[in-house]
Amino acid sequence: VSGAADRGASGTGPARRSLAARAVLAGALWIGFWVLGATLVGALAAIVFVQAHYRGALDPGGVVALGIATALAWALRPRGLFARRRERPEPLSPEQHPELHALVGRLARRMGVAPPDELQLGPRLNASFGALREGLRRRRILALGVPLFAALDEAELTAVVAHELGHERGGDVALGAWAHRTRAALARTLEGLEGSAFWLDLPFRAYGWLFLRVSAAVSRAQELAADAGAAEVAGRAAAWWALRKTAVHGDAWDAYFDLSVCPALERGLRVPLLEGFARFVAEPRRSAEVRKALAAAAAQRPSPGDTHPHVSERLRAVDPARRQDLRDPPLASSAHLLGGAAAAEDVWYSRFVHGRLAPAEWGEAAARGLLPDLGEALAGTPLELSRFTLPDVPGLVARAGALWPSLRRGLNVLSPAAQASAVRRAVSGALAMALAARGWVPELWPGAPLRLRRGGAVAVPDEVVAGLADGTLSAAAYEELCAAWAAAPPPASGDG
Amino acid sequence: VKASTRKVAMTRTAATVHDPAGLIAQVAELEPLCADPLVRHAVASGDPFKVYRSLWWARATFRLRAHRDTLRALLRSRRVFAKPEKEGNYGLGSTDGLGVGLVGRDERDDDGTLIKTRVMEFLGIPVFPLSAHVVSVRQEFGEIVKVWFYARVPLGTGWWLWRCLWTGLAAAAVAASAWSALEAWLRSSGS
Repeated sequence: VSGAADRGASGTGPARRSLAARAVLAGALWIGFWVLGATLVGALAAIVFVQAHYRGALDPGGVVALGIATALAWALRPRGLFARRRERPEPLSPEQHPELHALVGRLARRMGVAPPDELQLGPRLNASFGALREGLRRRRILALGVPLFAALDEAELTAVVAHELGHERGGDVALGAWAHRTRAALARTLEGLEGSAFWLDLPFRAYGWLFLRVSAAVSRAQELAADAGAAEVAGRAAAWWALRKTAVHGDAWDAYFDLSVCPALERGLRVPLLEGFARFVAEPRRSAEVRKALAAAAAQRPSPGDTHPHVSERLRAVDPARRQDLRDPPLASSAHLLGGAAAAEDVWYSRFVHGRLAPAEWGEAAARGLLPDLGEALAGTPLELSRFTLPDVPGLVARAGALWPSLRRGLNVLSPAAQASAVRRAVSGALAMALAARGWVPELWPGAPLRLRRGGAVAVPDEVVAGLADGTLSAAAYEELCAAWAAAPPPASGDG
Repeated sequence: VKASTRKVAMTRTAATVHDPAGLIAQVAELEPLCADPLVRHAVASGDPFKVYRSLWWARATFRLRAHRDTLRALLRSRRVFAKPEKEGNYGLGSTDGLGVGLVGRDERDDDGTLIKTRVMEFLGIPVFPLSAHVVSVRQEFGEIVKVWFYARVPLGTGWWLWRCLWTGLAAAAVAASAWSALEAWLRSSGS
């Protein structure tokens, strides 16, 4: 199956042959899974049957074979056939979002495919085209992640939509359902056999390995074909930048969402989502946690099971002449397609967040969310505000392990080093609380560590505690720091 | 809000390590051990049991010698490789000495939790280990009357080797049965 063959419009000879070959392969992989399961169960059951039929009794091996056959058959049983479908968020209606619907409709006509039946808003910086079966009818759904509207301009978003419509044009959406079915059956079986005493999961793991390699190779070819379609419709430059931006900012959005947005939501705050992302991307001094998250995301190496080619390969395929720039591309906006940034956020919150949130600016997130949480978490511990003093910090950091029993909550599953790290985070929180109680104003900007300001002075508790822990800040230097903090001018009337 | 709980971490050993389950945050000592490719691969799989077993193999094959003490300490602490329970409770009990029970009292913690191994019993004797769990138990007159299962942990080395032995024996028994069944079938179809 070649990706190059199906880059043209569907209906041409090579494209039709390629589609047929891919359909046969998807079906064969699905049937292969069930043939493997049935063969294993059947072979074991045959031992039992032959022993019982020809010898009149089962020997110990026959009993074991019966047990294994039963366990395998149970793990392979089809599940979820009649399960209720999870409720989907309300689609983006043409009445409320006419510009976006017009754009998608225009592109669909130009590419010779029917417009999707439904437009959905997604939570991540990506897009997808899928189909749901509703009786005999297929409901085709195009989902666009809300951060796309804060990262891409209209031409780049056009390229993303054209890429997804290219999947429909190439027949990938219909075939994808079969790959999904096989993957789901494999996952359910492996979950059922997880930790199997008799390594019953091994044949299915081996099949999963084969399935991923074969199906992922097809999927990667489909992605390259869809990229080529996007470049043809939206232009090479727009398609190239759309790919580059989604790759770079996709990881940033995930880190921003996990480390900044989710904590704020859990604290009941409705923060400005898209403005926060712009701040996160522009933040010059990122917290250690964010740096780690981004480095780990960047550390993921290409694997033969990847459904998408590596971004460098995709960029080369879209525009071989364009030099790859290592700098982070700037954010753009196409939020006007959803009626503006505020309207886009309203749509996102209404679909993905249930429960009441209090509107808050990012500048208020620390004072209204983080500090009350810290106070609650440290209540009743030796780090409680009433028992904690600034000069205690070096001693507390030095005997972090000993402090753990008084701070731990719930089941203890942390190693000694992880316990010490958790204690240091708690000490950092206590230091922030103590400074806030002395009139310092806390700030928690997306991507940045918690900072406290008083006049022109700035304190970063995480960095102070990390310095004391790794020895880059001595106890004497910390004392000097405390003296400087004490001498910091009181907050001006405009602070906070 | 269904927050994505993708946790990530890194090491600065040979290269940055992909840690999708945040195992290095739970067991910070793993960071230098990821210099070993098998340990790194196990961490990238996100399965703490695989990581525990990779450490066991590293120790058994005299790899990571510079970290021998760390390896020993980690292998003694199965709690830190805990996985959430798949089901809230397990059927325990036996009839005429045949059934499933809990044995062992490892890694007792201040909160009263400890590690017990769930085993199949024959004539009241533990025969085949099924799984190990962090549990707390309520006892009355020396008898366990209630068990709370909190997390699954890897089997202890002794039980694990014992299970491998049984698995090998069972595979051999099934193979022998298959052979004898084939012979019986061939004989009957030939006669």
